[in-house]
Amino acid sequence: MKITGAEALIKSLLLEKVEVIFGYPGGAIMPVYDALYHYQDKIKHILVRHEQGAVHAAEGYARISRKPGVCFTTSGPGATNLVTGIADAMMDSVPLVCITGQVASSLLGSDAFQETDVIGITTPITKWNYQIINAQEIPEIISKAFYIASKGRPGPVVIDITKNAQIEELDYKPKKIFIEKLEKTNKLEKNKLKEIAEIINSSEKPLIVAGHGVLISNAENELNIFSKKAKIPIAVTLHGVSSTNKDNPYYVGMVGMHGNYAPNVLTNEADLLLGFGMRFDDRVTGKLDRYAKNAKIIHVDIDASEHNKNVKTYFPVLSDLKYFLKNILPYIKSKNRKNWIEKFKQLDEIEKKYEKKRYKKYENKITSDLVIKKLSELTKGKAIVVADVGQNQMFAARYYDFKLNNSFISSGGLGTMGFSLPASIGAKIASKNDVYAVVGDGGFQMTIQELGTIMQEKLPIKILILNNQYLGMVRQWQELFFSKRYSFTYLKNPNFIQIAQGYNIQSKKINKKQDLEKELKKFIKSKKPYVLEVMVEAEHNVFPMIPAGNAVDEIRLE
Amino acid sequence: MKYQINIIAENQQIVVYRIINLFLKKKIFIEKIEANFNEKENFSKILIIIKNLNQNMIETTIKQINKIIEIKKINYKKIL
Repeated sequence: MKITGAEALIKSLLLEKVEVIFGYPGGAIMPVYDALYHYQDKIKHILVRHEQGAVHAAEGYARISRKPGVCFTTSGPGATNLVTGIADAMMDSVPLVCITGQVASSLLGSDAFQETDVIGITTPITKWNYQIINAQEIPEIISKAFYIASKGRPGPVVIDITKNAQIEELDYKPKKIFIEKLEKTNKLEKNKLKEIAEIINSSEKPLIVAGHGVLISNAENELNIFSKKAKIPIAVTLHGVSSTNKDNPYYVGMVGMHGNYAPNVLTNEADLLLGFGMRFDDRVTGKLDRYAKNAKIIHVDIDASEHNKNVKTYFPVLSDLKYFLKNILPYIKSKNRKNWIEKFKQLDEIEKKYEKKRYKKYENKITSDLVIKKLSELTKGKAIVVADVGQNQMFAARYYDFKLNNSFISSGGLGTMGFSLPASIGAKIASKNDVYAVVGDGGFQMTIQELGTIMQEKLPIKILILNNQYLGMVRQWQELFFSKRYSFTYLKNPNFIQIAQGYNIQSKKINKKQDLEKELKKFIKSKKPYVLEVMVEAEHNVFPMIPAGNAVDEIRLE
Repeated sequence: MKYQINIIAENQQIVVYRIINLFLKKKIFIEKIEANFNEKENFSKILIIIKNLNQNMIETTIKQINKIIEIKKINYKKIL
């Protein structure tokens, strides 16, 4: 059967079970949009307001649904507007398939209208990319794109399709590709597992650091079972925040620059560090040559190039985490580590003391952590929180009590301000749970146009703006490390309530503490999109904090 | 330290671009790079000589190059 390349693309997406596409049409992808017109009953298309919105929405969708997110854009500016989101997905291991239109192959390299070298631009920030110049290639390449995006360590794939390849006809035959190279996983041999288990069983002060890999490999249950059986404390990274929770008695909090006091300090006391699906990022390790120097490090990761990249590993394990945890469990012995666990509790008390002091200082004020705590209480921790970047992100990660697995999304590696609002669109489409976008006044204005998408799609997303009229995290650094020289961090903001009204979105602004609980309840109860702007204490800092370049045990409490 | 890296890859122009990109990002100096396309057998042989790397860096770099989808085989040896 002869069909156009554009139709073959849509059929190939259906074969990959794609249900939703985030996109923005334009000249060089019009044939694809024309083909999509006839498949509207099978594939949902979300029209965003800017291509960056499409790619972040696709990321939000991918992270909640655990399937590749798909976006469509045109050539030139359409494609270049994706760049931030693609880089974000690369850093945070998010599976994406981005389809970009391109000028006809006869015009390539001639500086034609809306031509850019998309392959050249996206090579350093994709797991794989490919330019299709004739229709015949489409079924195979699309299958390959999905395979690569989701297999092993996930990542973004860009497929650039020239206009002629969209228009030309081909004999369509469905194709499913597999790539031998990516199929290679290590077989965990019995004696190796025993050897690793022996190290774990004999350790006196072990600490698990659980990362995004726990969620990617669906290993939340296995992680909890493992830690409870072995009686080993679990600390989480920013992306690992919703991989376990306080219901597990061995949960000891978050590590990293704005993590909790106990797990950061005790990292340097541990005699064994189990890095599960994490990559020893500099925000986690602080000063590298003073990181976990007393510990043997067992690093389980599916990406071999992460082993020994930042920290010297005693035992690198190349494996899917779930597979590893399942297989090692029979060899793990329960061991009494009461004194070690007690240490975490003692240090936690110190952190709480400082926290109390802060609460007292701001007794009559609204602070961001208080807002998140209240939101957590009132939603019983059972919502998806999509945080932006900066202070709001750290407050969301630390003070929301996540009860659902995989319910915290944020831009970690790249730290992309403006991530939250569009990503919450994708998250809402992928999930029936309530979705809260937690965002600062700065980040909100970076992708504010996506309120239009929320309006058009009638998505009941709750947008919580923590407005401190500053670029809060930068201001905090200026306060602490630049003698309070607030160089260009003050924001004169527009009336967000009127803006929301312009998009026909319900909205409310509060600046008195006594209104907080009442208004939060209304906000949570609403079945429609809702913007709640909370004026929070401006010069309020996130603590604890490991100043850049310091060791994890040099963490500051105030 | 000087190293010679030998690569066998799919016959695609992009492969050299991807490798050079990685070296550029990591500020690794390439002393020599040579790519031979083999039409008949449909693969390319790429030879690279780099210097000023320690053992840990070369190992990580090799693993990162090996993540390039089109690469079939890679090995390296110390030459000086």
